[in-house]
Amino acid sequence: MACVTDKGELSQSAIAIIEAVKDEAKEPAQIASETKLPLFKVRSSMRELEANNYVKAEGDAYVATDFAKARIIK
Amino acid sequence: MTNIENAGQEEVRSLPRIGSPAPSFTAKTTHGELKLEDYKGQWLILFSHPADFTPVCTTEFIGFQEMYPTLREKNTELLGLSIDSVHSHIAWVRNIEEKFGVEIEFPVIADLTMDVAHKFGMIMPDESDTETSRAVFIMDPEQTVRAIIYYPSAIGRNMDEILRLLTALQTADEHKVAMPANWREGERVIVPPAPTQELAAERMKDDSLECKDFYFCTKEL
Repeated sequence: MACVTDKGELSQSAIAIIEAVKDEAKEPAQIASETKLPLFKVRSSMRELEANNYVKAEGDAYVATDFAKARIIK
Repeated sequence: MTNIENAGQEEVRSLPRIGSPAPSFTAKTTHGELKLEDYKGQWLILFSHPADFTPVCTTEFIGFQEMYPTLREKNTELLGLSIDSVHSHIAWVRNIEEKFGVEIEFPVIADLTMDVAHKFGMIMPDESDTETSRAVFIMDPEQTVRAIIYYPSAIGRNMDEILRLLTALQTADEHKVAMPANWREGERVIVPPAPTQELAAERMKDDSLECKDFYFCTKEL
């Protein structure tokens, strides 16, 4: 996995993505623009973060889950 | 691209051609699992190389990386591929950074199953059936194949030509024009031939064009 290690720790890019969607749902293009990450990286990370319950989809947008907020956002 | 099943139910997979949809894929890469659809809305240059830790490929990777910032300004991403493992790719790009001072930022597919290589026709069996050749596929934001280049194993690719080709494709799309031989950004472009006698006559009176005859007109952008 690229975003989440075997120990459940997140990569720096994954943390940046979650931070970007902690308050409101955003589409990948907006997240890419705000985080300066490539769009392909945001899209692939979203699949992985959603599978690990860090973000949830709202239409074409994503927002951080309570699980992510509890674990990541300070 | 089309898939055809013959009478024996054996699948015959045709190779992508210019103008056909790019074959979809899901692949392990140095940046995690990537799908073709992750690049939707952007131009994509997918290229293969024979093997990691080889000298010609190393010069190419350095060349691709040097071009990468310019490509990203043109809404274009780079994606490499070879029949090597992710760990081999990681070790190689780390070696390139250590020995040549160049950080490889674009992802590289680890195509150990040769799935993507077969889908795109990157293997030339009479040259090598265990390595990919030097193939380049340029795909537009709708993920249609727009250009294909093949080089043999012993010859490194010309990065200037790849960038020129991409720029020409993007400019041609934007302005509905064509490009003459050896065209470079900023040079005159070719206006598509007039489709009717009436339009041909009108074109010859158009002061904004430079025409040798009705079928050969150029203009500045």
